[in-house]
Parts: sequence; C-alpha cells; structure tokens
Amino acid sequence: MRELTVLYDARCGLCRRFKDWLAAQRPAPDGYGGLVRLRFVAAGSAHARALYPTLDHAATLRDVTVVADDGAVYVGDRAWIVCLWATGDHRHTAVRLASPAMRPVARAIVQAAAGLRRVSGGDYADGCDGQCDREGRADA
Amino acid sequence: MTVTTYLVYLLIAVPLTIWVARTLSRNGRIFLVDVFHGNAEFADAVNRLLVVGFYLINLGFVTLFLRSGRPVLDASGVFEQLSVKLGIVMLVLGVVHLTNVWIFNKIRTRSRLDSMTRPPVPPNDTVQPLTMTEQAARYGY
Repeated sequence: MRELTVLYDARCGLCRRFKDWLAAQRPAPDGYGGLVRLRFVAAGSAHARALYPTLDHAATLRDVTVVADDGAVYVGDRAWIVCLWATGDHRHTAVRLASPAMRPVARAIVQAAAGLRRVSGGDYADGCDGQCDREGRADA
Repeated sequence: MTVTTYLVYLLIAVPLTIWVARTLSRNGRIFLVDVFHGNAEFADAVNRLLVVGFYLINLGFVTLFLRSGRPVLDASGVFEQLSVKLGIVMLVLGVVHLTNVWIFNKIRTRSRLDSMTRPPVPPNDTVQPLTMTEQAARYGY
C-alpha cells in the first residue's frame, strides 16, 4: 500500500502531538520502490466524511483509525501498529508488536495511551478552545 | 618440545580457520543473494570482503597467540599447552563466526522489512474509498 490516511482526534492534545511526531518521521519504503505516504485528516470532520462516507465516524473519534488507499481500515492497536509500520525507523517495532506473543502488550500500551488521553483532555465537551491545529474542528 | 607444540598448534589452528571461513562463505552466499534480490555478482563481492576480514582477524589472532610463556618439557606439557591454546582459538573463531552470521541475518531482516507491501496486522474492516469522479460529483462539479 502506498498511502495511509490517519484519522486523528483534532481536539485532543495527545493525539495532535502523536500526529506531529508521526508526520516528522522518515517514511518507510512501500515495497514497490516508493515510500509510504501519510495523510492526516481530523476524525469526524466534513473532509473525513466526504472521503469515506460509509465509515462509522463516531467510532473514529473514540479510537484512532487508519484507512489505507486500498480501503483497508485499521482501528485501535492495529492502527498504532500500522502507523509505526509506516515509519522508516520503527518498522521493526511494529513487526515485533504484531506477533501473537506481543499483541497483548500492544493492546495494553494503547489502552494506557487512551487512559492518558482521558486524564489529560477530559471528554472535550467545550470543543477546541483555540487549541485546534490547522485541520480545524472535528465537527467543522 | 616447545617447537613441536608450536608446529602442532599451527597445523590444527590454520586449517580450522580455513574450514570455518569456507563454511561461512559457502552458506553466507545464499543469504546475500537473497538480500541483494538475486544480484549474484554483488553478493559474491560482499561475501568475499567479509571472508577476507574473517581471515585477517582470525589468522592474526592465531599468530599472536602462538608464543607460550614457559618452555614445554615433556609430552604431557605439549597436550596441556595445546588444549589451552586451541580451546581459546576455537572460542574466538566461534565468536567471530557467530557475529558474522548475526550480521548476515541483520542485513536480511532489514531487506525483508523494506520490501513489505502490507502492514503486519490484518485490517479490522474495509471501506470503498470514493473515486475522483464521485468526489467531484459530491462537491457539485
């Protein structure tokens, strides 16, 4: 696959920081002689709904979701593994986390991150409060 | 007796080094051809460079390790000296050899990671992304 679309929660600081970190990473080869491209779209935004009208957009606000250019949808810990897989320096970590023995560890890390997000950001009832990045409000 | 010890030491240590190096180059070639996508000429070149390094390190060690501190007086002394010397030479050969195998494997893993076309996990679901014309139609073009 050549392009991945990361649907991230634009209202949550942790998610935005993760998105910025991911965007700054060296991309990994796509196996066809090119590099895996990453595209970031705010989850639940009009743009996301226009791109993927059949996707459950309420669910993309709860869990980070990655959609590949061939239509494959990865949710939760799989989405995290796919994000790591798309980076040149951390692909081996992704492959290790994807093994049956390490999947519970990956799931625990993702749950810990979700807990951290709840602690740090609340449930975002007040919208962005001037903290959204240029992708705009999730419901814009 | 000291010279006899030296001679036996060299007669065992040098062929041993050659045997390990040949094993390494014969089996390492298969790894390298796989890594370099069937480019056998390039694989052979890298293989030869690695084997030359292996020879230099091990023969250098065997040569430096030849001298013994005290003279060997009897036949049992010959065996005692040889057991220590050859044992250490074999351990060093083993460490260098395994390091080489580890390097081969590292190169191969790296190349396999780079040639992956799909993520290591299966998707949860699939959606049909909109085609360009459908997107244009949605926006009223």
